Amino acid sequence: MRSSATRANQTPNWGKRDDGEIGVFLPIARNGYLKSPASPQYSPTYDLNRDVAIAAERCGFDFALAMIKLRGCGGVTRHWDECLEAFTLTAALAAVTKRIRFFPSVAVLTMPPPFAARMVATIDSVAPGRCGINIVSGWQKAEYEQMGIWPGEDHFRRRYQYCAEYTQILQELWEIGKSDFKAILSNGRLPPRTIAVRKN
Amino acid sequence: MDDCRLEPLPSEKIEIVCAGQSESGMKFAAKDGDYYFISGSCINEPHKVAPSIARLVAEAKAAGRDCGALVLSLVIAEETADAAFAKWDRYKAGTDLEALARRASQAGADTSAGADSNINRFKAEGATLPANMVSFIGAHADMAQIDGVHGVMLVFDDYIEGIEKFGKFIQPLMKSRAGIAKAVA
Repeated sequence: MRSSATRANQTPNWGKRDDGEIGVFLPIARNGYLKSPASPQYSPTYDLNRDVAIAAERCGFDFALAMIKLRGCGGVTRHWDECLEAFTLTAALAAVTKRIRFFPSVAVLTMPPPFAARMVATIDSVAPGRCGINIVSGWQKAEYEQMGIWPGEDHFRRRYQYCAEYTQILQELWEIGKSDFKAILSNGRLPPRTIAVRKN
Repeated sequence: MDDCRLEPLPSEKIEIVCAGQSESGMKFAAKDGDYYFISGSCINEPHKVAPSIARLVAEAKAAGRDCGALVLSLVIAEETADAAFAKWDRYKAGTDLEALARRASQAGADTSAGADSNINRFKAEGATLPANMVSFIGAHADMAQIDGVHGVMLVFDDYIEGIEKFGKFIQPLMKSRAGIAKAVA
């Protein structure tokens, strides 16, 4: 709670709440979450997301979550055709805020878990104690197939097992700085058959 | 991993958000997540998400953990409910069906998803709503009363205007935000 000594221009710091938290789902992708030409049309710029994060912090919001979408929906509104990357956006937002917590999203198929763990540790260095992570298992094949990393239809069935292994590695690295976990699915290497080979 | 290292260690425990409303997605959240980001489909009837949250609470309890639901919610707030609904109706009349169809066809690729999953919610979207989630249009209801809800994650049509209005007019009416509304006033 704000103490009487808090200066008027300083954001009060009341720490994490047990419940009743309010967060904002950042407009990281084109037009946010409304698919209609009658709703506001905009590009998901850094300037917009910065203004949103700062306004949210000023209004006492507790957290902001940045999703990740690697392929848009098209249509007349070009819904989500533009989308910033969640960790790099969060790093920039963390640097210009004081209190609000962030949850950047990792699409687990796109990067080995030690790399995601290191990005969170980096943002924690920018904003100590203010960065978490949102784990995205991946259900939209087009996002991954376009870059040759879709593991095949089995992923639909096994994606939460993949996430559980991925999360275990993250947690070991964050807690003890070391992992020897022998994962079956998310071993930090892409299965050979998913690496795109261009044939000329 | 083979003697994989990470330094520096983060300064505090890193909180993990999970999503996915299928049974396997929810079990993963209950076991490994601190928060569970949940979606639904209703206008001014947030209690409709209560059954899903009850499943989460049961799964987390079985795993001996706590995992709080964060309910993804759209807020369209105007001075009167009529003005807010007029806005919603305008958005709805112009729904980008092509973008919705593209999303639905992508969702259709997963034939293993259960009827309760997000994927099937997208498929069932009826392809007529510009946003299909827990929505508050011109009204406030106290979601904090639902057992297992840790918080809400808000989406706005106009973000800056929406956040400012939320802070000024809605938050002060919320019992769960009384302390914060006072602190930022």
